[in-house]
Amino acid sequence: MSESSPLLDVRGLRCVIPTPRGEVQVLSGVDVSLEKGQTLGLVGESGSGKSMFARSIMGISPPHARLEGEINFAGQDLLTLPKKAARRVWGKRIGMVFQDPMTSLNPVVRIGRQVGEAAEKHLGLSRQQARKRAIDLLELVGIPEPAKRHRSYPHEFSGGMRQRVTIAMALACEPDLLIADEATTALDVTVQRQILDLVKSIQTDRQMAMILVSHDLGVVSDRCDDVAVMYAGRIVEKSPTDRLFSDHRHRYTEALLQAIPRFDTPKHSHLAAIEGKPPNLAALSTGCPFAPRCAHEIDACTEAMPPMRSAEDELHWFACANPSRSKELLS
Amino acid sequence: MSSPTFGQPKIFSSPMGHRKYLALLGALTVPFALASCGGDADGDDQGAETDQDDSANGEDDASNGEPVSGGEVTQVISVDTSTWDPARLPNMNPTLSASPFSAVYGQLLYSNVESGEVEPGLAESMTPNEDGTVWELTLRDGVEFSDGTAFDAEAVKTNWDRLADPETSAVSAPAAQSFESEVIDELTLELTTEEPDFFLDRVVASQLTFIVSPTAMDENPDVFTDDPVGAGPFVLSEAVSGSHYVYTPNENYWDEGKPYLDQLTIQVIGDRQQQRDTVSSQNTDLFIANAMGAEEWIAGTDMQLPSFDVGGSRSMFFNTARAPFDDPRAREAIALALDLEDIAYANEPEEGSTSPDSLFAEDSPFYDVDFALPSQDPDEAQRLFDELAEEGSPVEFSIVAGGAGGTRSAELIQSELGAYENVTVNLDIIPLPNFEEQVAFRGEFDLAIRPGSMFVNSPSPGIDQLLRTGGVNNISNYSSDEMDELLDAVRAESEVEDQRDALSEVFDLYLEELPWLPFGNTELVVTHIPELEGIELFEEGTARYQELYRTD
Amino acid sequence: MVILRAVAEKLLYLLPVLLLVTLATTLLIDLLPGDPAVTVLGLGATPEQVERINTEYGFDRPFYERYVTWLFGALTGDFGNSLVTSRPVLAEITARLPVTIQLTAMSLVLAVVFAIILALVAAVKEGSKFDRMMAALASASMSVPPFVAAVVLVFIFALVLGWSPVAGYSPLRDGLGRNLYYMALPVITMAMLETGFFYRILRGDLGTTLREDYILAARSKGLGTGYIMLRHALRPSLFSLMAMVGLSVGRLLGGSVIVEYFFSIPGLGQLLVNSVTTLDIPVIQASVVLIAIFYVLINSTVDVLYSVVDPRVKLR
Ligand SMILES: Nc1ncnc2c1ncn2[C@@H]1O[C@H](COP(=O)(O)OP(=O)(O)OP(=O)(O)O)[C@@H](O)[C@H]1O
Ligand SMILES: [Mg+2]
Repeated sequence: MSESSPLLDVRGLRCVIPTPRGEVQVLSGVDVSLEKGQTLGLVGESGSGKSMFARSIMGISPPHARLEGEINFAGQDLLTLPKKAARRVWGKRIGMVFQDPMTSLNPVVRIGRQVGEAAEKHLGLSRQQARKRAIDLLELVGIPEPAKRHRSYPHEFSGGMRQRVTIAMALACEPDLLIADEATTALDVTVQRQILDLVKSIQTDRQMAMILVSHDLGVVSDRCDDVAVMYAGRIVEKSPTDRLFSDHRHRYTEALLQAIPRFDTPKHSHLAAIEGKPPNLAALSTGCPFAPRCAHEIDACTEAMPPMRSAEDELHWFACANPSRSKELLS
Repeated sequence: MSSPTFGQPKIFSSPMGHRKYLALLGALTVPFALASCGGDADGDDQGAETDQDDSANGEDDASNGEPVSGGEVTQVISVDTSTWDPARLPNMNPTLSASPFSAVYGQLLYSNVESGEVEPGLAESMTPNEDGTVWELTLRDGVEFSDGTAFDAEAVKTNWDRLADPETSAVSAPAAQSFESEVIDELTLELTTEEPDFFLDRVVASQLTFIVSPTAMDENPDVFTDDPVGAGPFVLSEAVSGSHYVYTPNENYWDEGKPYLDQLTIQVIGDRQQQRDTVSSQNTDLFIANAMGAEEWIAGTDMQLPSFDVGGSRSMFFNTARAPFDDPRAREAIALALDLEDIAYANEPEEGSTSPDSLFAEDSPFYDVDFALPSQDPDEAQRLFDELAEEGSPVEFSIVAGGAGGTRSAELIQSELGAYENVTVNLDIIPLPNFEEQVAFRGEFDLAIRPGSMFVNSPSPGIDQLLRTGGVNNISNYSSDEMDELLDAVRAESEVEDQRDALSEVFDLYLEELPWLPFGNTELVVTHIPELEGIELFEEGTARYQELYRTD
Repeated sequence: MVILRAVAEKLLYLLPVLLLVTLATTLLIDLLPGDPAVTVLGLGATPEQVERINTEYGFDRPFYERYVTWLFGALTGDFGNSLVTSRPVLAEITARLPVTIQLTAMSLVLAVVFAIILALVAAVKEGSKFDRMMAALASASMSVPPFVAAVVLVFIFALVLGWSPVAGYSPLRDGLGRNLYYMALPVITMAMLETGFFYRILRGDLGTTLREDYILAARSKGLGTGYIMLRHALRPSLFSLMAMVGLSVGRLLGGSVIVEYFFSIPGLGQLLVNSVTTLDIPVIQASVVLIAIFYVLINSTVDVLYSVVDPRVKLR
């Protein structure tokens, strides 16, 4: 792959899901690009489309979903690639860790097998070799006595241990890109930290690129190179991590940052602090979808969707008609 | 189905019975019962004079050419033979046990299916003395059972004594008890009756014709369950209980060159629809039953349908032992009130289902003995109903019936009588096993519609056992000294002409008394592949398997 | 070992069930219309003959006495003799049992295999024409009772196509080919209904399973569809199917009564029909008990099998 082209380059990704209540615009034109070894944080309220974005990349969007745009991975468009070829990317070059370790492991398949099967398929390993690899991976993610435990079933593990297993699963083929979709949301706080640190260290070790999806700006802040903020199926602001915190422009980002939770708030209530409800994706209005909840709404907000524009340089983009100037305010 | 012979006791047990009874087993089985109820019987049936211009005539077939040896034949019957014990043989219905028995035991004597004439089998002859009280049964020389035991007078006597023994509880005990037998020499047995009986050979032919090896009975505990030993044309070589019986020729068979077939298979198919399918797909070589609508079955196939005219009727019985039908006027009123043709058709809604004008087949010497059932006369019927009501004994009764055909007939009778005053009818529809017990054994009924049809080919035991006090088929509980004397008189005649005259008197009294009322005819259906010849039937239509041969 | 203990434990539950079944059977037989002695003796039965049979078989004794006698006999393997054939009941039944077991087992296996294959294919093509067609077919097959299916199948395969005999049976000892030739239609008749039931329940469960995260996870690993269906989707979807299989054994045994009669297959069902018709009480009694044992055994096995299919189900 040439140095110039990014590892992942998603352009104008739209995802429409027909439902009995009309077509739901789950993603409406998402552009994301990611270099080798880079980490992107993806944040946004519940329902903003983070998972749908991750699933689109992995080819596991809902059965009748219509996808448009491009998902270029290492120069190949996964959307137009034949299924067979795409399967050589999924699981092999992109691994994914799911949100809930309680449901993302098959309860009736031994964990060793679940970890090793991707390697067996993609790397052409024998049953034995795959088992050995699974044991190594389980060791890597910190499962005690992996040589014994690989024969266990998921229900014999705690939640944290299971998430370690799913991480091992995603890492089985040493992928170039790891997508962690709220990999820790379901876990309690101390375990969360351990897992995130584990993932981070492996990522650094292996030079993997990573998309770290989260509700939680706090989680993203010290582990990502860039952060993208998602709202109603759009990226509304994207910048290097430190600049997002110091110099965010979008009013939604602003609201998010003000709502950063403290340790004592119960999990999953983190972003509920923003007033109002996310828009109905089946009936999006023409203007900025955040406008109805925005304290700084101006006329321009409802007239048309504000286009993406850059702030200062090509690294920082946002789409807000009445942006904040946090830097100036601070100084 | 079933059309048991007169004199063959168990008249209600029949494959049709099984089928009808199935309906009781639960809803699941009902459709089969429905599928089959078209024939409430394979039994009852129709037009004795079936018209078969289209197919070769069976009787002629046999004379078409020289019999050829070899080949296999499969025949389908309705009900598994549950025993090989002649004492348990329920009747001579060809679609029940009579066929398997005939293959293994052969026939001591047999009566022609149509004429009722007795013909020699394993016995050479049976002849009466002057007055019909002493008969001489002469056996063939050198006949052996398949186990090598001599088929001699002693063997026959042993069998008959066993049937006569009350301990055996034989179905044919009354027949076996009706004479004393004495061994004269190896091949001769003398039968003595108290009263003259020129019909004793017919009794022997229809009820005492199957003889079992006495050695086997003595020594083999399985002789009646699995391992029958007879002197018939075949031996049982494989039995799959509930499915089929495979027979191979009896090496010891007396008649050189017979049987012609290398193998005979008798297959049991209980479901009527499946019997029909088996016939119409030509999956069987031979099928004999009292079936209806057989022309339709074989339409478009090569199957032959030779016509056999047999005697008998479908009947309803009055209980003459209790009110209201202890009064002959009540019985007559019913006979006059009903349209018997309609009742016959309701019983068996098929072409040719009519009311009989004779109880005998056309070939029988007794066919045209005067037998005219009273024709319908609603006014006279009403007069009788009124008269009885006035006397304080109105005609109030219930009809006991079982099976689809019986039920339909009963319902029609009820509705036809609804047009009359002073007559009340209830229906009592019961399952078949109950029928035998309630009607025949306990006599708890007023009017009973007998399931299936009755087979008649001789004044005695046929008519005799229907009318004689205590007769096996005297379901009506009819008892009349005068009738018994008239029946004795029939038996006492040696010449057919005189027998006809005597029978005519029986009929005269019968028509006055009317203890039972025939309303429909009996039909025998024989259908076979064109390559099968030598179909000689006896009794109710059982094949004489030694005569069957294939032409291909 | 654990499994053996579990089976043994299930068998313990079997005892009260059997006691109840035998008791109920004895009671039910009392309610059957007709008098067995008269039925066996035929129309000319004399009261003396009837009495002799009643005494011999103990039909004249009170209910509880008959039951206890029967029970003690049964415990020692003595089920008495058939009223009709005079053969020992046990011999009658053991001659028939393998036929019914073969019929039931083959129908069951056929139905399960077909249902699994079809449901897997349909689930993969969720919402496709095939999926919808199968849904319709399954409902149709479930609403066609065996006796109707039998008539239709005979018409098509025996009468029109001539591929199969109309009815009949050939024992295994005369060759497997011949045996299957005769068994094919009866087996298909019985399997059709069950395939419908199995298909429907499995297709439903597969649909649910396929929405599970672990299936998405498996797909995100780039695994092939076939592998995912077999390795990840099938097993977790089997529970309701297994419960259904247990139930269907009962339905099949019931159906075998009709199917065996219709196709003249000499199994236990046919024997039961015949014995009910002829009021062969000793045979009815033993057959019913045997069928009950069979049924309970199968369902106990199914219970035990749950733990094999799902590691979360612990054997106690
Ligand atoms: N199968 C589907 N059919 C229709 N709409 C769907 C479907 N799946 C998801 N959606 C909708 O798509 C939107 C995006 O969902 P998504 O799961 O991507 O949100 P998310 O950002 O991951 O939220 P969370 O933080 O709760 O995981 C939601 O509004 C959701 O209602
Ligand atoms: Mg999500």
